[in-house]
Amino acid sequence: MKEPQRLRRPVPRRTRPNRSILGALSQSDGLPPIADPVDGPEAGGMHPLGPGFGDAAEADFAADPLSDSAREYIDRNVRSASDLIDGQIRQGEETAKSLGRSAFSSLNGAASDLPALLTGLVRAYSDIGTAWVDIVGALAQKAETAVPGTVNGSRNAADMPMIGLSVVAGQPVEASLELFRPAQRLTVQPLVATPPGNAADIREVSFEPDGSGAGGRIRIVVPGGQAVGMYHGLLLADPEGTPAGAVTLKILTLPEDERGRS
Amino acid sequence: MNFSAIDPVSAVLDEYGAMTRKIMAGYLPEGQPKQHLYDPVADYPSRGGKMMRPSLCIATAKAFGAATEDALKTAASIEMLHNALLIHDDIEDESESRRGGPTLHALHGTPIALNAGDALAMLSLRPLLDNIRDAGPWISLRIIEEMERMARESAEGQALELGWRKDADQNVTQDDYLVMVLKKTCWLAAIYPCRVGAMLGKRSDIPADAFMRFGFFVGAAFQIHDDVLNLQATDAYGKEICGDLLEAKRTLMLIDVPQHMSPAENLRLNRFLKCSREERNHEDVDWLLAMMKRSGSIERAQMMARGLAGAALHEFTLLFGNLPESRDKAFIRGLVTWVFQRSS
Repeated sequence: MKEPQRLRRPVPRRTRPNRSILGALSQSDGLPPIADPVDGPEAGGMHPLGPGFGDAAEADFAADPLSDSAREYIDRNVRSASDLIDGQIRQGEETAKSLGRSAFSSLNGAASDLPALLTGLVRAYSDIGTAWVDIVGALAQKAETAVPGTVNGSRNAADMPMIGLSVVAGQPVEASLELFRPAQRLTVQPLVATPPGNAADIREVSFEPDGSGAGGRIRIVVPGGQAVGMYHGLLLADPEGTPAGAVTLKILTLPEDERGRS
Repeated sequence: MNFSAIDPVSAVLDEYGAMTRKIMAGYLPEGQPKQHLYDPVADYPSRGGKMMRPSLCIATAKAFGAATEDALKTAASIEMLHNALLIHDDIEDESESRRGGPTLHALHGTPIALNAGDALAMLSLRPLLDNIRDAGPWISLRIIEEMERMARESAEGQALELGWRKDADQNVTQDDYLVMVLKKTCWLAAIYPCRVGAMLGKRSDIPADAFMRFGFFVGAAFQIHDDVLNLQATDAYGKEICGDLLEAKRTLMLIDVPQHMSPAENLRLNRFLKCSREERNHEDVDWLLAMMKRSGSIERAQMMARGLAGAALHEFTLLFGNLPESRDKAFIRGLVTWVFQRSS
């Protein structure tokens, strides 16, 4: 099912002057008042900020001989404070960059490079014959729940089962696991070559639930001499039989210098 | 429902404050060494406090779509770090009372208090690490990065203020003061709680400057009002009345008052500022307070605080205007004016 488009509301227009106290409180400073009731006086007549800050007190405020200077004082100082915070925000961008660049950028990098990380890890294990990469499957799910903009972006990571992936192969492979939605138990369909018919299916695939019943491990055994190429297998939620994810396996060509030794 | 017709601030502070205290209690160790570490660590948190910071975090998170429990650990961390910094501030400021009782270093001595503050600051990291289970690693690490930024800004703000006092600096301007307040107060009191709350609610990063204007205006209004309260408060205030004058703390009033003094009065003020706290006497404090009243410095500071609160309300509209009306939204708006209603 197609994910519904995210609703976006228009960004409120910043009024002029930038942050005048008088404009902010819907008082007359020669500018149109702000219509949003949030900025208006509290119920009860008197503005919560005290005399001079609400329509009910407007007459008294105007009659006060100090009111003009008070208004001018407040307006000037708030404008000054507003300029100050704008300047600090500009300066703060440098601080934020110096602080956040190392950890945050590496985190972003890790998130965006996750497929490469997964395949890299799996390949490293696969090169020695057997891959036990439980952590990889779990990591993939965790990242998927946490990275904004993903289908599962709002899902609680704690709700996701821990699904591991182990590959037994006598030749280099790259494997990745993608879960569309949480599933406690899975049925793994045979891995089919892409395009179909190019090679025999990889049929020794299974799901081994762990003792807690909150996940388990997908096990794939690649037969010796399996043709190089790309293979896909669908993961079905058990017992519903609805698609819950997919496994992709790429069988790689041995480097020339290693082919003679294998 | 007309949320604006209800004053939700006190009720929400009580409710979210109680929730935060419960979570916080789980992160305060109870083992040994009890007498010289964990009892002092738990002292300030057990004295109450307004719980404004954690409540602002929870309310912002909920206003942006989170469930209450999504924000509780972060809120507890905020309150723990706030208490840790209070312990250190009280030592640095040589303060004598806090939340209606003697300061921690007055009770246990500076070494014990300092160590308890260090421990509490470190303990405040644990709830953020535990966030990983609930919110996932991506948002949790972003929140820790926000904490790092806030901690750095707070330390810089404290350094500015301590430096002014150490050097008896008489050239501190209003802008200098506001920069100090932005760093020392606003980041922990408002900017950080709002920013991490919004991150939890949106489950995404937010713009680098989000909530900075709102947090600055509301935090500065809060701080200036707090400075005024220190001069005008009764025993319910909970801190040392006129303690800021004894400490020669740079406030808007202290920055403003020399401009309305005669040369002789300025000379006396200069001598006062150069004294250590022990050397300052109550006669000088009373004189300085009278000068502030006579010159209108206190009144101008109050006007400034109200002006900043007005600007905060305007920023509130830009940030929250499009969100649906809710108790939490009403609370955040109400907080801006609540700072003027409190007496402690």
